[in-house]
Order: sequence, then C-alpha cells, then structure tokens
Amino acid sequence: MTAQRHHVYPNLYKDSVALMAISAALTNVAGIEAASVVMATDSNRENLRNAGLADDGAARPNDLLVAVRGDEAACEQALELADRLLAEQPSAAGSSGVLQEQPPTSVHTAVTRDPSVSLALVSVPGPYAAAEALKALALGLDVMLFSDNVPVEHEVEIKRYAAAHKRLVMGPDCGTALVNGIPLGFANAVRRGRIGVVGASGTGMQEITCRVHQHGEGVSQALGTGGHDLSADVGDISTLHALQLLDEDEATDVVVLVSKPRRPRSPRPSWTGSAGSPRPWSSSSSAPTPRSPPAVASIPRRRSPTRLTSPSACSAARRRGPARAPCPRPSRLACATRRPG
Amino acid sequence: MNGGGGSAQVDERPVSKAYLVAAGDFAGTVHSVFPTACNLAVGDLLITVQDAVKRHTPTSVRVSVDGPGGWAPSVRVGDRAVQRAGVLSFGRHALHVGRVPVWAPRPAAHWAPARSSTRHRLAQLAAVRADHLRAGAPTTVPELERDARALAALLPGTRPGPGAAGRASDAPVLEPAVARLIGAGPGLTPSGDDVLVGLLAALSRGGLGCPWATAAFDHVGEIVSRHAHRTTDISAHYLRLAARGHVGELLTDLVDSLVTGIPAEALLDRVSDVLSVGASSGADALLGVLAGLDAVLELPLQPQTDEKVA
Repeated sequence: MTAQRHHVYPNLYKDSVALMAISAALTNVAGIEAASVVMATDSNRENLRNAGLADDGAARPNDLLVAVRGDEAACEQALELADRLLAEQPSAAGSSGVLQEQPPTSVHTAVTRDPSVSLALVSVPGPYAAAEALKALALGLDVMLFSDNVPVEHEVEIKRYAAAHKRLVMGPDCGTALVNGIPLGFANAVRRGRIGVVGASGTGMQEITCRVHQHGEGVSQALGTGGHDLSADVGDISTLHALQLLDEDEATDVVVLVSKPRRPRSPRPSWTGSAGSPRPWSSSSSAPTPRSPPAVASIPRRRSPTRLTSPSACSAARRRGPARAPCPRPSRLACATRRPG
Repeated sequence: MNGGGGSAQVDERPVSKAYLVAAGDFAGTVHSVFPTACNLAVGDLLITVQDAVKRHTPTSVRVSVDGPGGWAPSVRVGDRAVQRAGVLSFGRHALHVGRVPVWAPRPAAHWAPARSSTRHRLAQLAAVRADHLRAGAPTTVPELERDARALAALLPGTRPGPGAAGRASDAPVLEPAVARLIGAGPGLTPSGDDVLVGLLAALSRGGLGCPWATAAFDHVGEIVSRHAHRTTDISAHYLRLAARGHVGELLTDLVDSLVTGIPAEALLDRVSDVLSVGASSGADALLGVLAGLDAVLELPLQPQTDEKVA
C-alpha cells in the first residue's frame, strides 16, 4: 500500500548541491515512487500537494521539508536516510565515495586517456626536463617547462624541435602563464580581456597583467618564454612563436612584450606579423627603469591559439592564492610532474 | 543545526569585500553555515563570508587561506558577529577587513551592439543553457521556463508613467506572474527566485536610458519586495537586493558583457561561470537574464540609444 511520509527540519540550511544530492539519494531507495527535499515555501508546498506528496501546514519558508511517497517500509527507510545525510558535517570537498582512478604517471598515459589534451606542464629536475619535454612535443602537445637549471643546449634542442613542429614551448624556468583563463604555475587572478602578454620575465609579466586588471582591462593570454629565449644562443624562438599565436588570436587586440634587459649587442627580435608586412610593436624591459610603462602595440589577429584548459587545473588554481581567475570553458591539460625513472 | 566547532585557519586573510558591506562598526549573529561560507545577519542584510574562490555578491567578504581545501567557517548558528575598528569577528574568526579592496559594479552601460546581433547572442546562450541542462545538470521545475517567459512577455506592456512604478493598471497583470515564481522550485534559493534575480539584473543593467525598461524594473522590483517574505531568508535577501538594483559580480559581468558586446569566447566564459553556481541557481539566473534582455530588446529605446541599436 502506498504511503506518504514527511519530515520538517526547522531553520535548516543546506546548500543547493547538497539538497539535490539528498533528493536523488531518496529517489533511489527501492520502493520509493517520489521524493522531494525542498525549502517549505508556499509555492513548493503547493507543488508537493499537486505531486501527491505530503505537506505540512506548520512548515515555514526557512524550514527544510522532506517528503516521500512509496511503500511503508521504503518511506521509513528514506526518511532515516534523509536524517543521516542531513546530519552529516558539511564537506567542502563534496566527497561522493566514488573510487578515484589512478592519476596518470606519464604524459603518454595522460594523452592516451584523453586525446583532447593539448598542453603538458613539465616540472622535473633540469637535467631530465628536455627528455620529458621532447616526449610531450612528439605527442603533439605544447609544453610549459616549469623546470629550471635546464642546460642551454637542451633548451635550444627542445625549441628547435618545437618550432619545426609548430608547437609552443614556454620556459625553461617558466613559472607563470595564463592560458585561456587558466593560471599555470603562479599567476594572478585577473579578468580576461583583449590584451595579450608575451614575457621572458615572469615578474614583469605578473606586474603587467596586474596593472592591466587594475586599469580595467583584461588579459587574453599571458605566455611565458623563459628568461633565456631572447639570448643569441636560443634566438627568440618561443617569443616569436608566442607573438605569432597572439597575432592569430581573435580575442587579442593588443600585445605586450616584456623581458629582462637584453644584452647590449643582442639584436632586437624581428617579427613581421601575420600579413607579412612589418607591424608596429614595442617592448618593455622590466628591470632597470622605474615606473616605465609597459609598451603596447596593436596587432591584427585571426584565430585563437591552442586550446589549453582544464577543470582540474582550474580547481587547483582556485586553491592557490588570494584571488583567482574565473573558471574557463572545459578543455584539457596534462600535468606531468613525476620524477624520471 | 549547521555549524562546525573546529579551530579557525590561522593563515586566513580577507582579500576583498563588496560595496554594501558597511565600513563602520556593527553587530549581528551568525545566520547560517555552509562548507565554505557562512551568513551573518546584520540589520536587514546577510553578510556572506566566503572562500575567495567565489565571486562577490553585493554583501560578501572573500577570504583566502593557504593550502588545499579552501576557507571553512569555524562557527555555529546563533554565534555573535561583530565588526569593530575594521575587524570582523565571529566564532573563532577575526578578519581584518578595514583596508581590503572593495568590489563595486561599474555604472551600467548603454547598448553598443545592434539588436539583431544581440538577439543572436541571446539565442546562442539559451542553447548553451539547454546543453548544460541536457548534460546532466539538475533540471529545475518544468514550469519554470514557461512562467519566466510568460512574465517577460508582459514587460513590454509596462508603460512609464508619472510615478516610479509605471501605470497602476499594470499591477494586476504582472503581480500573479511574479508571485508565481517566488519561492518556487528546489534549492536553498528556490529556482523561481533565481530567475527573478536574473530578470531584475537584466532590467536594471540592460535598460539604461530606456524609460520603459526602468518602469518594468521598478514595477517588478516593487512586487518582488512585497512578496519576498514568502521565500527563505537567504533567497529573500538576494531578491530584495536585486529589486534595488544590486546583483552579484557574475550576473553584473554577464549582463554588461551582452550590453557592451564582448568577443564571443569571453562571453561564453562568463556564461560558464554563471552556470557553475550552485546546483541549478546559475542556470536559473541565466534564464532570467535571457528572458529579461529579450524583453528589453522589444522595448522602445531613447533616441540616443536607438541610433546605436537600430
């Protein structure tokens, strides 16, 4: 025989996600035909009555009303379950009790599991970083090379390989980047917008992104290149590639290039933009000139750079600092932080 | 009752507060406690102290902690909450909020894009919302969309009059449509309330320079304020704020994005942020925003704005 049961919890507040989860748990109890966990507003109580569920005339809008319909035993079981779930201490993690899959232990495993992955973050001791970076590049990924103490000959090898395969290498010793709104490494929470930043200086890049935010604008992408990229040995490879990506990015109207001071006789990077004709742009040295404003230049653009985002990376970033960037649309990122072995 | 009794995180620090959080001294009580937030009842406002991950409401304080897990309130419902000399104290927390940055929305902007392109954008966002619901997000009450659209369809009939709230003859038409949504649906802030907050955000920030939109906002806001007692305290708080033109950072950014016409990708990011709020609150508020802006686009605009949108 079908029964209707309900229970009122006076002045009990649970967040909406918890209420939905409890409602779903009650509905899944064998023998339950319908269940509802709602705040006891007039509208909701009327809806309960219309749905053939029990109402309580004494309930008030700030009360939580649990109503179930089903066989007698199932109703009792469901109300006990609701009691138990509502009594649980709040959990920020929202544990669901589901077994977690073993995290990937190599870039290859990550890409195999999720072929849409398009960027690897490599953070291993410097002498081993090139091997991991080259593996990632060979898998068609862009690379953020967090590792420092990477020999310059390794850096040149990585970047020449990347350039030949039209992939971007950020780093070595790249500690900050903002890619499609995802902070990578240590980055500040700044709004998204139309200003792209290419930086051979992490501190300079952070300063500029913060200033951009403070002045009411936003950052489309902030791409690190590594502090040695503008040296004669490396030859600006990542800087030019990053500029090219921003040139093609629909969301970028203005580009800022920031670096530590170039060596006196080091030639200025030569970049001509997508149309083949020289485009105006200028650079800013971040260190010696107090209060020198970042130099900006309008640059035409055509398409978005590689899609590099990750809900998990975003979640991690949210835990990191005093403020955060908004969570971007879902996509994929692989983080390879294992030791070589 | 909700609440936890653990010790406060020693490395917690407030990072910003919203513009409606009073700067001077005040006293209140802890109203409700959640995993990463709590509400303090102060006068007729609820001040939400929350983890810095969350974006601002008009009355929130964002708190950051180092390490994993985010900020968690260590406080019980009914505890005393006091702000003195710039220090907000409640439970085991003492937050130095006197000099933290204050978030405040920018002034509302005039419409920049053409009406046709905005209608296209609104249709795209409606499709994004539908995809979100189809992808497994909890659906709201089935009648919600119907009721929201029915209410929005009445708005172009609201005429600006000599008073702030439009013609008195509009009241019998609008009132049941608004009242039907209040307190309706699942969630701590029932879905219908979330729709109304979104709708009011659209009318208040999307109708600048349009006396018809202003009249519709005043009229809906007045009805919402009168019926707010029929829903939960927390939801009523947000409804009353929205009826006075105060909405949170996410909805402000979203409406402003549509009004000023930002690139599609950035707009989708903002929609994604809104959709991530609560179980269904974000999707419900988005429904209200879309219905409200659809209605605004049907209204005659002021000459200076009309030239831009024609």
